[in-house]
Formats: sequence, structure tokens, C-alpha cells
Amino acid sequence: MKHWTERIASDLTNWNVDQHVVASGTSISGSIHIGNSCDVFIANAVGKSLTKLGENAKTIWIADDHDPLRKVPYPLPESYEKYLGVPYSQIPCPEGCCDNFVEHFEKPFLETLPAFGIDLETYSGFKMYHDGVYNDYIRKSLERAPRIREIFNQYREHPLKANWLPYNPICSECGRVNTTTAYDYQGDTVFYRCQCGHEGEMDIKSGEGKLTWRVEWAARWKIFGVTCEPFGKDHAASGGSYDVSKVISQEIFDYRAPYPVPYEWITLKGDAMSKSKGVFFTPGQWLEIGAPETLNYFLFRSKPLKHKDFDPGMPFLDFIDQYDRVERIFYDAEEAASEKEMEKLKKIYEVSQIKSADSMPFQTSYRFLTVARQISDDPETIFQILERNSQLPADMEGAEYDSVSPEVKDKLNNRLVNVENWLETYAPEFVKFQVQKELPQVELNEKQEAFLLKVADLLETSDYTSQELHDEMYLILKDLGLKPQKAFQAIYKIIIGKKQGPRAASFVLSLDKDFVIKRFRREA
Amino acid sequence: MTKNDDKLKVNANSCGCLIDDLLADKPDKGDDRLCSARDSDMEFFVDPDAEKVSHDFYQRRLTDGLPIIPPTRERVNRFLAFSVYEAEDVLGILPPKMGQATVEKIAINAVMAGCLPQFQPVLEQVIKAISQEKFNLAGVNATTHPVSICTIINGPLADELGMNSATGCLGPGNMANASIGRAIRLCLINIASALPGIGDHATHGSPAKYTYCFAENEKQSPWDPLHVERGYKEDDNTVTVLAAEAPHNVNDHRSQGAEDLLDTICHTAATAGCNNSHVPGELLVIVSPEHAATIDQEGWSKKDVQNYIHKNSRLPAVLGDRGGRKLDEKWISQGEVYITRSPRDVTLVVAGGPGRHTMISHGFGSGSESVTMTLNPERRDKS
Amino acid sequence: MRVKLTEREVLNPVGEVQEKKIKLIPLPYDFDKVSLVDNTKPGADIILKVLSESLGNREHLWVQKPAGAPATKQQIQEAASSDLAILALGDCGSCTSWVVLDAIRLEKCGTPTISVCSDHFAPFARELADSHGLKSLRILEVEHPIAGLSDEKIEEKAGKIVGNLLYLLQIP
Repeated sequence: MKHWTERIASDLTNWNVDQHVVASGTSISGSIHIGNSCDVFIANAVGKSLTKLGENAKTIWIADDHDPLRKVPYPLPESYEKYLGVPYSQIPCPEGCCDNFVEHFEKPFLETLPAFGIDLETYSGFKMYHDGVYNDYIRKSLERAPRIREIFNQYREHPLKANWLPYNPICSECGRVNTTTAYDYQGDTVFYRCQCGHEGEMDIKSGEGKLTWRVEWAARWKIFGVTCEPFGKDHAASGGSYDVSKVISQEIFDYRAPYPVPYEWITLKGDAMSKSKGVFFTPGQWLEIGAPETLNYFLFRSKPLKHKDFDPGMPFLDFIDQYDRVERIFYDAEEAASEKEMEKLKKIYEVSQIKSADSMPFQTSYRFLTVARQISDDPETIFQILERNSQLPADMEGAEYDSVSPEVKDKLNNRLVNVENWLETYAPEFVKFQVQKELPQVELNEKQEAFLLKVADLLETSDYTSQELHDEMYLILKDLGLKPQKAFQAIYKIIIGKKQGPRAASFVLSLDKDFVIKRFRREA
Repeated sequence: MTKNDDKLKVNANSCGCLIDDLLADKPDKGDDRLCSARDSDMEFFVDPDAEKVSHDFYQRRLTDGLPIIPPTRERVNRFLAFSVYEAEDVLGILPPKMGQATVEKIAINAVMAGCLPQFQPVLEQVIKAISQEKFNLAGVNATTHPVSICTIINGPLADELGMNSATGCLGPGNMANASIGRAIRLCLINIASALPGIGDHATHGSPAKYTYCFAENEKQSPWDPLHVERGYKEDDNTVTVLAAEAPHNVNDHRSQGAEDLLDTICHTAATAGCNNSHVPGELLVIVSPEHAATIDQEGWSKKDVQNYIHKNSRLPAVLGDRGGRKLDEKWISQGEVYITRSPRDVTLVVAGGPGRHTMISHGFGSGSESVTMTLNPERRDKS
Repeated sequence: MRVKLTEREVLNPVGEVQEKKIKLIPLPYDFDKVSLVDNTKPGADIILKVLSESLGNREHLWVQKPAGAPATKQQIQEAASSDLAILALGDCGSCTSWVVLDAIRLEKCGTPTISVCSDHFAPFARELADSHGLKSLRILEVEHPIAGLSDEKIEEKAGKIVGNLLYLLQIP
């Protein structure tokens, strides 16, 4: 069994090329999120697989920064509407912290890539035009404009005009690129009209213009020798960008179109990610709450055309539980439901890893840490809480925090930082609590009081595992004729001043024993 | 017994009128009703109008297009009385719809077809026979090929049922031959859903799909009849079902010897457009008594005839290979294909009246094998 | 006296169907070997060739079976030895029946299937699969007719369904 990224790589080995170039590209129309940077992750994985198969391969990323701004991205003010139609490369930085708009949005993205082990050659569309990389392709496209128009028209309901040219100059008056129409050319000079009323001419060598997208895409394939490219499913529709660019690549530039890898969008809590509406989640935001491998796992666990939804709230805890389970299955610490499932999960885990490890890395429940972290912020104390609640791996039973390896400490601390961020930003109110330093003003009935006293006695006389304590507490509440809900409410009320909280037995065991006994006896 | 049980019980059918009221003079009312509490004083049951039911059934696509006899409970019960099974017993599951062929559903369709109740056991055996895996009803029903189901009756029962095995045995004119064949078709339409365009995709259909049933003319045959050839006793009754095309005539008035006559038959059989030409299989040969006599006078046994027909019914492979599935190399010998796989594939029966004609009927090819089953003549004792 | 005439009821000749359900085997996450079940109808081999070529570096196992009749047990066993079986071609009544019924036999063996039928016969194929308890049998539709066309024309028609096959298999 192969992972789908490996399968693509395997198929690509049939291509008789000296080097494989796996391309990705992102329009810098705002923050780069996990939805529109999918191709970067996929391209990287395919590139790595190719290398593993002994192929000469590299991964590239092209910033589509010469494209016009079509919508003002969140959180920029309305005043940015004046830049609509202007190439991103020409728009100033919204916060004055970077050279321009492009750098402002691409920098945070590029900075996160090393954390994911992604190594790319990066290119800028703007620079490519200005450095003259496209010049020959522009000339050829102008020359072959009638044929290109025919190809376009095969897929269009309304045919393009007879004098249509596959090139858009940037208007020298208003600075916009999507409002100009080139109607003629002579040598390298292109004549155009703009909706602003300006009529002018320009030299293609100036870089002040760009090829129509589908032609530019095809040109780019040949320029870089692209053999594989993942892209959003909008380009993949029948008669869409890929279909048209493929024909142009073959016919006009005499180049075989790359192996296409269309992927489905990622929704955020059911909503389409949208830069203009501010509905998005970036790889940087992911790193705040999860290890980089978990994002890889999220992207690679299902086939690229399967719909994925991301919810950083409570479902994120389920997601991390799932990742941890897969990790255990990979290291044979847990059995999968079937041989087939095991094979599949091991594959997905394997391709999600940035560095391979020989033995299973230290693992402790993210979900449990969301409780422990609210009781203490001291790693050593948390380590003890984990131990008391049997949340440490079997081979670490009885270990002291000081004696564990730096790798374990790193793992624990990284996850604690993730948990802390999650609690702060995405945790719903009902999971949050604070241990009350002072005895809170709470009303308990006689039975509840009696229950707490009996549990205090219990804790004083012996040590329990959470299951044992749970069973003992049930015996007591049954004896008292108290409903479980009421009994546990007493514990939550007196410790955190709320009616609900984490699983009672393990929560009680997570806290300092003396403190709990005193609190239950209303002594502290 | 408790006191409650002694209470007067009013019959559920009682209108509640008192006898005194019913008998009392009611000159003022001016009607002659017996009882005003009911909407009628007397109820008569009549058979539904055949024309109306036929039309209704036709509209609901429950017929072969011809009028039917309305299948009332009373009529159906008369058929069930001839069955050894219970009405709800399932004798077969018929594809493509996988409808359950219960004894009662068979009887209903038999009534519709104009059968006599005595035909019910024959139909039951036919349904069981076509349900055999090797018959491949799924393919036979759904195919674009114009294959029908030919039913041949052997044994003394044929005469008992008044079947025709002589002049005109392939129709028209005999009730048993016509209605048994038709009932089978109605079962296929209604139970298997072998409706044109739905479960039956025959490009043109076939007149043989209306009815295709006859008895072997055993008395005038010089050879063992079909059922004896297949291992049954002469006085056993059997039904044989074959997936077969509509019959094609072999006119031979002049041959005086077996070989000449058989050559005419072989030449008629070896045609490129049949299924046998690319998927060799069974071939039904219905020899007339006169033709049989011509062959027999030279002392040819049935096996000799079958051997001869098998060996000589062949055509150029290049022509045979134009059919549906690819012609398997194993059927080709010296550039020719034999349309039967072995002499056993030549299903030879004697039937018809005076005249020098034989009928041949190509099978579905290797996609279906004929099935012979005995008939249990014993009648269930029903009170 | 009021006399009522009641027409006797007529009975329904239509056979009832017993409800039964067969489980559709899910398509594999990934697969190394695929059975190409060719019923030798004209063009079936071309369609299977075009489809299999779109599947990249995978092992192909060609199995031939009869068109209007069931595959032999041995043919079914052979076809079931792969991770997936693609059957072609249902473009007439009996061959559609036995593409569908053999596909169901393979599903019963635990081998997921994709059956190729012409669009004219696909509705019948679905009805038939439903009657046999497997309503959701995967059927890829290719434009009718296939028989009688040139190889190039068949290749063109087969090419048009490659996208659907890849989508079904979630091959990027």
C-alpha cells in the first residue's frame, strides 16, 4: 500500500525527465491559510517521495503577486478599495511594517514553513515579469493570439473578440491591470485602452503587464519544467483553467502539462474559508495549538478531493486524540480495527512525519492536559498529576520529572504550550475553570456536605487510582441516597465555584491531596 | 361458565332490526325494502367484465398485449386445487426483478393466459426448470437477442391435456399449446419483470415470445423421444425448456436419402447471425414425421443424425466472430466454427404433421442449457 | 327490495420481492493490483485498457469471462485476488445482467468493484443491482453505443469517463 502522495510520485517516475519540479503557487490576496496553502504541503510531500524513489526532484513556490487585488482582505479598512485592480506588488504594506502588501502577507507564511520541514525555492511573479523571464512567452502568445483565442473559445459560452490579445498591460494612469484591454501590438509594444479612459502603449519588456492567467500558467510550466502541480478544485473543473492551460502548454509552448493534483477546499467550522471575510486559519495559528505533524496529518489523512472541515474548538481535542491513536498504532502500541486500517494509518502517519523516530515519542493526552494545565502551570507539578492519573506511558511509571530525558521534557512542554494557547483562544467556556484559592461562598445540602467529608476521609486513609476512587465515591453517594450529579456538583462548587467540571475522580486526584481534604472539610 | 357468557350475543351480520318491525305493515313508506338499516337487501357477486379488466391490466403493463381472463379468487382456486403445493410456496425466484414465483402467482398468470386448471402442474415444473442456474434466466430474459423459452412436453400427459404434436403444433389453434406458452410468458412479465425495455431488452422482441410450446409426436417418431434420450421412462411425463429463437423452416421435398436431407438442415442451421456462431450451444431440430422416415429408412439412429448435424453445421470463423462476445479459439477448427459444441447439443425431436418440412431453432448459445424435469401427475386431495 | 351487484375482485399477478441487503465493499484507500474483468464484448478490452492506463503504476490482472452468462468460479476467484475489480462491458441486456451479477458475486467475496455499463443500459443495471440487494453497486456510465464503433471512437468515449473513475477511486 502506498500513500496517495507516494502513488503520485511513483506514477511520475514513468516520466522521462532529468528533474522533477513540483510546483505550488499562492495568490497573495491576504493571509495565506491552510485552505489555499494546501498545495504547498502536497507539493512538498510529493517532492520528498520522488527523492525517496531516487528521482532528482525539487519543490518550488511562486507568489502570484503580480495579480490584481479583487477583494479587500480582512482586516484591512475600506480605504483599500482604491487598490482594487492594482497588482498586489504595487500596494503598500497595510501596517507599515513591511516593504509592501505582498511581503506583509507572505512573510508570516514563509516563516512557518521550516517548522513543517518544507524546503522550497520561492519565486515572485512580479519579479519574473520585471526580470524579463516571460518576455519570449509574451511574444509567442501575441504571435499565436488567434489560435489561443480559438482554444479559449472552445470552452467559452461567449466568444472572445477578434482582436483580443492574451495580455493585460498595467494602466499607466490608474495602475490597474484588470481594467485594461490590449487591442494591438507591434514588436514589443502593446496598445491598450483602460476603463479609466486612458489609452496608451507599453513595452512588454518593462514588466508592466501580465499574461492572461491560463496562458501565464502554461508558460510557467515550461519556464520551470514543472512535472506536477497540486491546485484547488476550481481550476480542475471540466473546461476550467487546467484543461485550457494544458492545451495551450502542448500546442503553443510545446510542453507536456504537469501531472495535476486537484484538491477540495477546507472549510472552517462548516464555512468556506475566505480572506475577505476573515474566515480562515493559518499554518501559523495551527502551530500555536498543535505540533506541525498534526497539520500534515490533517491534510494527508484523506484523499485530496475529500472535503475537510476544521474546527479548532472541542473537535480539535478529538482530532488530536485520533492523531495520538494513529501514532500508537504506528509504533504497535495499539491495535487497529483491521489489518487494512493498520496499513493505511501507518502510511498516513509516516508521510505526516517531519523527522522519523525509531521509537515512539513521549505521548500524553492533550485532552487531559487541558485539565492539568488549569490546575498548575508548573511542568513538574503537571508531570506528577499525570503520574497520579496513570496518564504516563507504562515504562515511565514511578519516574521523577528530573530524571526524564530532555526529549520527553521537550515533548511535554511543547504540548503544554499548545494546550495553553488552545485554552486561551479556542476552548469553550464550559471547559475552563480555576481552582479557588479561598473557600468559595457555596450552598451545599446536608447530604452533599456528608459526601465531601466521607470522600475526605477516604483520601486521608489510602491512595487510589482514578477508577478506584470513582467506584468508592459511587458507593458513598449510594449510601447517602445522593444522585451522582448532585454529589459531583458539590466537588466542583467547593473547588472551582462552578456547577460542572472535568471528570470528578481524576480531577480530585490531580489536585494536591492535603488541599482537597482540607477544602472538603471546609478547613481551607 | 360465568353468567356473562349467557348474555344474548348479537350476530355481527345482524342489522339490529326486530323481526316485528320487518314483518309489520309499512303502507305509508311506499317502498319494498326489507330492512332500512342496510344499503341493500340482497347482494349478488358477478365476475368482473373481461374487457374492462383486460384494458386495466394492459394499462398497468401486466399483459402481453392480448386480452386476458380476469384472475378472480374463484378461478385461481380451481387451479390451486390441481397443485400439490401450498398456494404460498415459492417455486422459483425469477430475475431480473427477483420476483417470487409462488404457486398462487403462477396460477393467477395461468388464469389470465386462458389455461385450464389441469395445466397448473406443467407450469409449476416449467418455472422450476427455468429457475435452474444453468438455464441462466437472468441472461435469457434481459438480452437484446430475440431468445424465447420453448417448452416441449413428453409422455402420455400431452394427450391427456389435449396438446397438439402434429399438424400445426407450433400454432395456431391448440388451447394447451397456446395457453401454456402464453402463461409462461405472463409469468416472466409479471413475476420476473421481463417487460420490453425494462427487464427484457430484446432489440425487436419475437413472435415466439407470445407462446412457444408443443408436444413431441412420439407415436410417429422412429427414434427414442426426447425424455427417453434424457434418461426418463417412456411413460414418464416431462417438460423440457430451451432458450431458443423463433423456428426457421427447412423445406426439403426432393431428398431421398438421409445425407441429402440432413445437408439441407445443416445448411439452414449454419448461419452467421445466430448466437451459436460465436458462442456455440444447443440447436433445436424439430423433424417432421415424413423427414424422420426418410432418414430412418437408411437405418440412421438418432445418435447418427445428431453426429451428422454437429459435424456438418459449421461456418467460416471470420463470419461467426462478428457476434457479441469474442469467438473463443477453442471452437475454431481449420478456420471454421462448429455451431454446436458436441452431438449432444443437437436437441432432436419429431413433431408436426404430414409434409416435408423440418424446423430448426437456434439456442441462446453457450449462455443457456436446456433443462428437462419430470411431472408429478398425482393430484392433491383437497376437500 | 334493493339488490346490490358486487364485482368479484381480481388478484394481482405481480411477483413479490423479498427484501435482502448485501453490503457494498468500500473502495480501497490505495491498491497495488486491479483486476480488469473483460466479458469480451466488442470494445470492452479497449475501455478497460484506457481506464487501467489512467491508474498509474499498478499491477493489472486481466480476466476474461463470458458476456451473457456467469463467470466460472475460477474466473471469479481470479478476479477476487486483486484489491479491486473493474468489469466491462454492459451494453446489451444479457451482458449488463452478468456484469452486474458477477460484480455482486465479487462484492460478496469481499472485493470492491466498479462496473462499466453503457448509459442506455445503466438504469437497468441499477434496477437489477437493487433487485439483488445492492442498490449502491458502483456503475460507471459510458456513452451508448460501443459495439460497431471504431477503436478510436471507443477510446475517445472511454477517455471521457476516466475522470469519473479517478474521482470514484479518489486518485488525485
